Formats: sequence, structure tokens, C-alpha cells
Amino acid sequence: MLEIKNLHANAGDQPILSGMDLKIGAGEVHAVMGPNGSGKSTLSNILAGRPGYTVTSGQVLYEGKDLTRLEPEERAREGIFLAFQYPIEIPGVSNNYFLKASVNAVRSHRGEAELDAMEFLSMCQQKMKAVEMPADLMNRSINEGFSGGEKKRNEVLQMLLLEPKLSILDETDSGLDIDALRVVANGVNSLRSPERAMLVITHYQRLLDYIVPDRVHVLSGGRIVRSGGKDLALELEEKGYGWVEGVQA
Amino acid sequence: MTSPAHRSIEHWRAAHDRIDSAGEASEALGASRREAWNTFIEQGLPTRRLEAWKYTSLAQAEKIEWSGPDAAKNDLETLPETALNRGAAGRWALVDGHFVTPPEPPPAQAGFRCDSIATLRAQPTLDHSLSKVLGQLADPKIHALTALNTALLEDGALIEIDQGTDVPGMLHLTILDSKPKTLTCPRVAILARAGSRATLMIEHRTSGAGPRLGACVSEVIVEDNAELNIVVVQDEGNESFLASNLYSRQGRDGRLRVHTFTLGGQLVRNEIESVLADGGADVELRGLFIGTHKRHIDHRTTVDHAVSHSTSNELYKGILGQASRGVFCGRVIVRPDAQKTDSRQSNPNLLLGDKSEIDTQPQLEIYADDVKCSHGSTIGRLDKEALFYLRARGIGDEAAQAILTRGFAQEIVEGVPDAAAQAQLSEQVARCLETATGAPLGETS
Repeated sequence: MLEIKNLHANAGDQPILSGMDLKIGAGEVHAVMGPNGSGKSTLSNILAGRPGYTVTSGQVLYEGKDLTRLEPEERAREGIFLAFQYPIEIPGVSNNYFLKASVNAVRSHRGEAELDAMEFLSMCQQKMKAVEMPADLMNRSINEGFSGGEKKRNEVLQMLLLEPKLSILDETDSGLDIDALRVVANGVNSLRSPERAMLVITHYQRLLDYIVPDRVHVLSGGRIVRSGGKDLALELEEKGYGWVEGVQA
Repeated sequence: MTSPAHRSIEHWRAAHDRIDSAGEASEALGASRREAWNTFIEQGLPTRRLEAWKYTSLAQAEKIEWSGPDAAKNDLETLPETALNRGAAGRWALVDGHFVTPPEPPPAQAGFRCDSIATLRAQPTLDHSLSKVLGQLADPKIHALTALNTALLEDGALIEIDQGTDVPGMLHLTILDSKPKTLTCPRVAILARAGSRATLMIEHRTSGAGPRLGACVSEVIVEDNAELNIVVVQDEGNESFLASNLYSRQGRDGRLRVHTFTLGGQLVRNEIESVLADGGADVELRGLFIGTHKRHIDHRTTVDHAVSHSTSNELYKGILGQASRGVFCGRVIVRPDAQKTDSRQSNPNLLLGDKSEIDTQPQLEIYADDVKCSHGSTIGRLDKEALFYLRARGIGDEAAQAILTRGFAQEIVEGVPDAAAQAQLSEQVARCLETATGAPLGETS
């Protein structure tokens, strides 16, 4: 589904990724772990198409097509979803209005009929239950005044509504207590299926107790320095990132 | 050959003489009208040589020959229907400055009234409430357009909310200019008696095409413990010049909120002078102005903290598309005795057009030391992070920009206390924004 080949990329003028390779097949969940500054955020931003992040060489193929040519909205409509590490607060735009606009943009791209307010509401209510989101958050401005946990639930709610083929979770565990973490992870796990893939980017092993990956990769100095099964995460937790950095050197 | 400006003044002089020769029950009113005319003749229309008019020029308006306000017709106009006055608890209108009696006057026990100033003036003794407001706050000597309005004062509306009355729903006054190339001088006197609560919308409109010139003056007295919301909606035609001066004075614990929506017109100049005359008085001035084409919108506010323990909060949001221009000047005076003043002012602006401009300027004059005063203005484009967030959810670039722009405006709409008015305003704002963000640059003059 996703194939990254010898990717070099900049954040601003700063080269961050330097020769990264990664291949994720349908139905697979991959975790990318790494210390601060290793390029984790740059990877998620490159995949989502955030302005300011540029590919300098190498390839990113999504379902065999060059992903970097697509605008951010086109990527989203094609089934890529980035759960933001820091969801943006947007005053004056209700969460409900935003989510409906988003769902309908993706639906009309897929050739499906747009949902009216009632249809959207009933669809939303089920998914909100899944992430234990209070109903009043729908009528509030997007993420404005939401707690850290509420913001992350809102991200997962969007993910459940859009049913992406490839979900990228960027440090989704940061700032969450253990209960919120469980809720968020349950939401994510409910989307796991043979057609979907996930890329879980995290600093800590903790999240991977809840979202169990098929493969774990260690990112250091802008490339993958080690890959393995889910046990690799435990090993990292025990030995620290110094261990893989040592391996790299 | 005389210039259009000279000919306009001759028409206005004739109107002044016509009104003045009709006589006046109150000698003081007659004297102030004549004095105001002399002041206007001395000062003339404001020019950019005046510091307060540095950014706003009436030169375009002076190229047009304007007739003076006409006498009231016998067959008075019917009350205009607007999307915003439907369902109002009381609705009235000034058409070309003249009071229009509503078809369904509110019951006598409603706790509020709105009367024609011309009718009140004709009575042998001047209405007590009118005498408490009319001419008490608006000083013709310090503003040529207030002088012009006062010199041509013939009719207008007195709105009074009775003591302790809580008016449910919204009161509505339409100010409609119906004749091209004619000066109008609408006058509004508002008295919110002690302990009353009410919301009044004042909607400025024009009917038909052609240039308009309005010099509007409102005087507002908010007595002790009263709470008054005034929602001003300026949605005039695109050849309209409108100057609106609002003067207010609040008593102890009086609350006044003025929400100004500027969605139309060619040139709009709004001045508000708010005096916080007793402790606990609280004023909020909020504004949303949307520029399209070459529209020019100028807000000038003065908040005078005259005594201790008063608060003011200003939030003016500008959205300027195409080649429109905005001006905001927020003056705050904190008098030497006005300790514990809390004053906030904010003027964020979105510049959407390649040729749009904003000049924004706070003016703080603080003569007390134990006060909190803050101000800030921003001039920017849409937040890139927010734009990316929406796009990352599949919403196209243009749609995302429109959503964010509406969101920026929505905060001011949501301040309006009436839900039905909010919904209608939200629609009108959206329509106006479509023009501001989408339409090609066109000529307005």
C-alpha cells in the first residue's frame, strides 16, 4: 500500500530524512519509533503533505502512485489520514460543521452521495460512542478548549468517520492518561482490517501495548536503522535509544 | 460656475431654513439648530487635513450635488419589511429621516415605546424623556457631521425602555434611504431606564440605485443597572456614503453592548463616543466589517473612563477583500480619578485581497496609575496550520479558506443575543464574504 524508497526530505531548509526505506502492505500495522529529532514528525508531515516539508530525492508510492504529487486534500480523499500530534484549535467553526464538510468531501470524491444533516448525525452518534466523546463537543468550535484527551478522541472520531485506507498516528499517545489511551486505542483497533494499513509513530513503547504492531522500525538520524517484530519495541524500552544509535555507529 | 459641493450646501441651507421657519415649541431646540448650522458652515465637511480624518476622504461624495432632506410626505411610507425585522417585538422605521408609524403599534403596557421626534417636538411642552437625551450627548461643536445632522433635525425616533422592564425578543428600527442624491439626517434618541434590559437592532438600508449620503446621529443613555444591546447592521447599496455617530453615557452598573456589522456601502464611517460616567459601568464595542470591491470602512471609537471601577472591552474584526480599505482607531481615555479601570481592545484583521489595506491604531491616554489596559491588533492572512488541518481532512483549499473566514467572522455574530437574528446575520455575513473572497474586482463608483 505504501512504499517509501530512499527518501530524503527537508523540514524547511533542514535536511531531516536521509535515505529512508519502508514498505507497508494492506492489513499491516507498522510502528516507527525513535528518539526526538530522528525524523518521526517529518515522516508523518511528508506523508500528509504539510507545506514546508519537501522531498529532495527518493520516492513515496501510495497504491503504486507518486504520493508527493497530490495536494493534502487529494491525499485525504484517496484514503490517507494523519492523526495530528497537536490538533489545531479553530474558533468560530463548529466541530459538527467541519466533520460533515470533511465526510462529504471524501464521499463525493468516492462517488457516494453526500450525507444530509440527519444522516450525518446518526452516523456520528455511533462513532462518538465508540470514542466516548461527549455530545456537546460537536457543537463547540473545533478543538477549542478541548482537553488533551478530548482532542485526541476527536482525531480518532474523524478517523472512524473517514474510514481511511492508511492511517498515520503521529504521537497519538502524547499527553494521554491511561484511560484515554485505552479509548483511543480501542477506536483505532476497531478500524483494523485486511484492507487497511496503519503507521503508528511513537516515542514510547506504551501505546504499542494497546495497538499491537506487526512490525516495528527504529528511526534514527533520518533513516530506519533496525526493524523487527513487536518484541523490538520491548527491547528498545529496556535498553534505550542509545542502544540502536550504538548499532548505527 | 459653482461646484457641486457649493450647490449641495445651498440645498441644505434651504432645508435648514424650511425646518427652522416651521418653529419650535422648545426655544432651546431651535437655538441649538441655528447654532449647529453656523458651526457646520464654519467647519464644512471634514477633510483629510484633520487628524481624525487622515485615512478617510469624503472627496468622492463632494463631487455629487446632494439635495437637502425633504419635508415629510403626507402619504407616509409603509414600514419596510426586512429579513431582520420579521418577528421583532417592536418595529419602526425612519424613511429618509422621517418616522414611519408602525401598522401594528405595540400595546401600551409593553414597557417600551418608540415615538416620532417630530410629533414630540410639536407638543406644547417638550417630552421629558426626549429632553433627557436629545442634544445631551452629541455636541455639534466638535463634529461637523453631528452639526449638520443637528442643523437639519426635523424628525427621528425616540426609543424608551421603561424602568425595570425586561423586553423579551428584539426591537428593530430600520433606517431606510430611498432617494438618490439626497442627504438624510436620521436622528435616534435612546433611553434605557434604570434596571431595564433590551436589545435593539438598527438596520441601515437603501432602496433603489444611485448614490446616498447619510449623516446619522444616535444618542444613548443607559441608566443605573440597565442593560442594553444595540445591534447595528449596515447593509446599504454600493454607492452609499454613510457617517454614523453614536454617543453613549452609562450610569452606575449600566451595561451597553454595541455590535456593528458593516456589510455594505461605498464609504462607511462609524464613530462611537462612550462615556462611563459611574462605577461598575461596562461597555462592550464589537464590530465586524467586511470590505469588498473598493469599499472604505472606518471605525473610530472613544471610550472615556470618567470614574473609577468601570470596564470596557472592544473587539473589531475586519475582513478586507479585493481593493477594500479598513481603518480602526480606538481611543481610550482613563481620567485621573478612574482607578481600577479595566480596558481591553483588540482589532484582528484578515487581508484577503491583493490590493486591500488596513490602518489600525490604538490611542491610550491614561492619567490614573492603578488600571489594566491592554490593546492589540493583528493584520494577517488565514492561519496556515488551520488551513492545512482542514485540507488534511479532504476539504479543498478554497472551501477551507471560506470556512476559516466565516469562522473568523462568527465570533462577532455569536455575540448578538437574539438567536433568530444570529442565524439571519450569519447568512448575510456569508453572502457578503462570498463577494469578498470570490468575486472579481469590479467598479463601485
